[in-house]
Amino acid sequence: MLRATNSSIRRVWQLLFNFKKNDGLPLLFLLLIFLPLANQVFQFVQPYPLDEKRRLAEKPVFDSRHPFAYAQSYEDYYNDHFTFRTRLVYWNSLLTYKVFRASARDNVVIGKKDWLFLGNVNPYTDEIDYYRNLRPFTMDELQYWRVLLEQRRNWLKRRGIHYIFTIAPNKSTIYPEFMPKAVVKIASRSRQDQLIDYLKKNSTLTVLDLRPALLAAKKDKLVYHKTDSHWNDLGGYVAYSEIIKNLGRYYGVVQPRPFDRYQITKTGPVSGDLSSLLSLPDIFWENQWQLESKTPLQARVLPADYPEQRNRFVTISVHTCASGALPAALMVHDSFAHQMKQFLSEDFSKIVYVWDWSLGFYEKIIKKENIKIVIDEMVEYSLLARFPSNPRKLRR
Amino acid sequence: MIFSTLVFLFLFLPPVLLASFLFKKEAQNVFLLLASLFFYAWGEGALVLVLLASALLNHLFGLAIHAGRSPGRRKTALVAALVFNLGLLATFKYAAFFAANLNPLLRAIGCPLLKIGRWPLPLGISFFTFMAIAYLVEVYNRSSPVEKNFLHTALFITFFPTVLAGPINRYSKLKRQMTERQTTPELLAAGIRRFIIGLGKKALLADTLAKSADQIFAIPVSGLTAGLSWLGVVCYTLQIYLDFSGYSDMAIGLGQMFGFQFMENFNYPYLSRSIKDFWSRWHISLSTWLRDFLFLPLAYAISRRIPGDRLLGIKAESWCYYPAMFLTMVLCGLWHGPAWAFVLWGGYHGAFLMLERHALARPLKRLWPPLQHAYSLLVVSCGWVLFRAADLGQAAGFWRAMFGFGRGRGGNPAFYLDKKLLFFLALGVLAATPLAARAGCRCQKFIAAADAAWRAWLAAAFRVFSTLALLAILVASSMALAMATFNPFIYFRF
Repeated sequence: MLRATNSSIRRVWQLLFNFKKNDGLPLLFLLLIFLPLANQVFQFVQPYPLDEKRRLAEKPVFDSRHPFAYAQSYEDYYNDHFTFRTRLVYWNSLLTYKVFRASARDNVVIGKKDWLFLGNVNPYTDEIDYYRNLRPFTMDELQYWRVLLEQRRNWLKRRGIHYIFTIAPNKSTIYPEFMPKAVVKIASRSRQDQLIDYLKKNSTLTVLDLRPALLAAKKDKLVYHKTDSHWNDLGGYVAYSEIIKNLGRYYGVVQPRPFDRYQITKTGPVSGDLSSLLSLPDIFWENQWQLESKTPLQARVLPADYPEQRNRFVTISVHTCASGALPAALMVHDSFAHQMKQFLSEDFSKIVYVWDWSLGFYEKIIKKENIKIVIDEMVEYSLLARFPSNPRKLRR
Repeated sequence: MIFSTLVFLFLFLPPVLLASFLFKKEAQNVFLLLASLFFYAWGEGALVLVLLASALLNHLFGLAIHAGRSPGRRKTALVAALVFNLGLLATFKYAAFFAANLNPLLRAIGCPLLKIGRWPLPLGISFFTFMAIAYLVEVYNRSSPVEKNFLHTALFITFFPTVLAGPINRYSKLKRQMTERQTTPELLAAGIRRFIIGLGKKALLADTLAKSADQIFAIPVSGLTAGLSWLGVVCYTLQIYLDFSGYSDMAIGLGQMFGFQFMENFNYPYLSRSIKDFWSRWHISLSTWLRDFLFLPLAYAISRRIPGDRLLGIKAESWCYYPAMFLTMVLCGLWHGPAWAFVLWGGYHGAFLMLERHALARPLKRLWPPLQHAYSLLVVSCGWVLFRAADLGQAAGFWRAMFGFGRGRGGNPAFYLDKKLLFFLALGVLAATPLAARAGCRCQKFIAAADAAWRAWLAAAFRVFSTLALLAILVASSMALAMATFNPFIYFRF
């Protein structure tokens, strides 16, 4: 037994340590491929902190009744927890950026002066395809949008509720000058242009177009983040002002809160959502502009409990403000509304925010909260693939 | 389990490789068989039983063919074995395809329709079935001795380096290696070198080019321009070669690490000067299998039915060659997948092979060699469109665009052809030609011819450099594999 063990060890020694014949390659290869297993046990290298904003796979428990299912679950777990994973991911992104000035991931595009833009995240989120005007609306699709919005407007109007539909412009719409040179437009008109023109000709409904105000504001200050897909507080303020100005036509008493009521502060280095998607938060960062009210904010957040909230894609919050001049409002929105909330909440006696990417229609909330204004907000690139639908009641 | 995954590279391979060195031959065979079954079961689950059943029954068929006392009995045993193996392939891979194509006919003549559920496809079934068939026919022809040890037959059929994607080895070449192979430091280093190069081809080059090819093939054909479609085809042409030859390199390298010498599968196919030449360089283990076990028997069977040298004024040789070649290539296409696109792809290559034997034979010979390469590359690339396109409509749209008849507005190729893609295309071209290998040989010749005082230093520097370059490829490939598992979301909720 001992002799057999000795001969095995001698064999391994000869295979691995005969550097004249093998250039040391087998030993180095084995060391490298054993390294992750060794680190899993001894933890001599700590993982690089990368936030994937998702729940990583959990270690599966072996179930003798389903032995083969364990393999796939374990592989998912291993892929998520592989010991050098985050470091390798970081190096890959860094090397791709340093060598090619390119993004290692399809969902982020590196523009001029290191501006980051959303790439192809999923069929609903593809700012590049949108920017290139690769897929214009068909007439059927335009008609679908007209009918959808008119049904909402008409249903609300019959109940004395004012309706606003607004589109948050893509970052590439406001800052096309920072898009990569190779990303060129195939056609001149975007889906938003098409929709606005179509509604002008075929409907009494109008889309609140935020682009002119944002394009004018960007001459003074940055209105979008450089490393994030969203607008910043200043962009949020501009959008808020446009919404309030629009409401001012119907509720004469109200004006946007003046800009000088806010203090502009520059925060320390912060990396945006696009830097995280690229896994290079330490390379792509920026000093951000923040707006802070000079006087204490009046709006308060109330606990909200709606059945809709049990749906993991919907988040609901209710803000009230005793000094708010405008009646109760409902805002169905996407992530772009977050930078508007601190301004909007101060102007409404009550405002219910429903974060819902699919832009659902919330009749129960409208009735329960005695809503008088409904604002639907969605980001421009969502026009590419998202087609919200109305409840059957509205379609009659 | 696939070679180019983190689990294989860092969880399966290290202990299996190290432990295999500790065992002597027969014990190592047992260990490798168990490791192979674990490897297959990891990805395919209960389908490992199909693989085991195939190994066991083919072992028994081999014994039965060998033991047959009369030619009739031997033939009966071979036919039974072929029915079993082809039946296995037909059941798991082609049943749904045949049913889908037969049902309209059955409906038309009022017969009950074939109802076939979705069978899970055991990965690599086309490879291990063809290896088994080759073994059985060779035993029947007495060109290979029968294997009486089930452990060896089972290891031959289930061995993890080859079970998923070949090479389709011949048992006659491996039988001695089962008992007499020797893992030497040189062979181990050569195997590791080959494995790392294969991994680099797959994880770094093929997967990067695949992204661009996928993006371009995702554009509706109405949006394609000539430049875009050519870029897509070039990316895919390199991708499919680097992907498959990379996998073969990994398989051959793994074999060498355990002391086995598998057959070569690729010999720079894009340097071919004709389609005939291409098929002697592309997927060699399959093309030689088809030649030995399909084309030659078919041609022989036809020739036996033709009396004399000519029939209807046509040479008997032509009567044998053309139908046998065309049918072989059509079946070759079908082997790649149960879809008409693959059948057409096979027929397309078959048609060019026939043309090259007849109408194109002389003009092709007279052509300037670079134009011969260009002709072959053009035919092969256009053929890959059939292979890659989702359907025939897309393939036709692609061809139209490639030859300037597309009126698309899908954009400028510069959008896709950034610095990164250019770099990987250049590396892909380098990997598809023997340039790098020749440069290595030149270096070694230069070192050999250098002044004696410098020779040892230069040789050592060259060895250190090549070892470090290989390790860099391994680390870069690991980075690419890790990147494929990185799936961040913009918002936590989704």
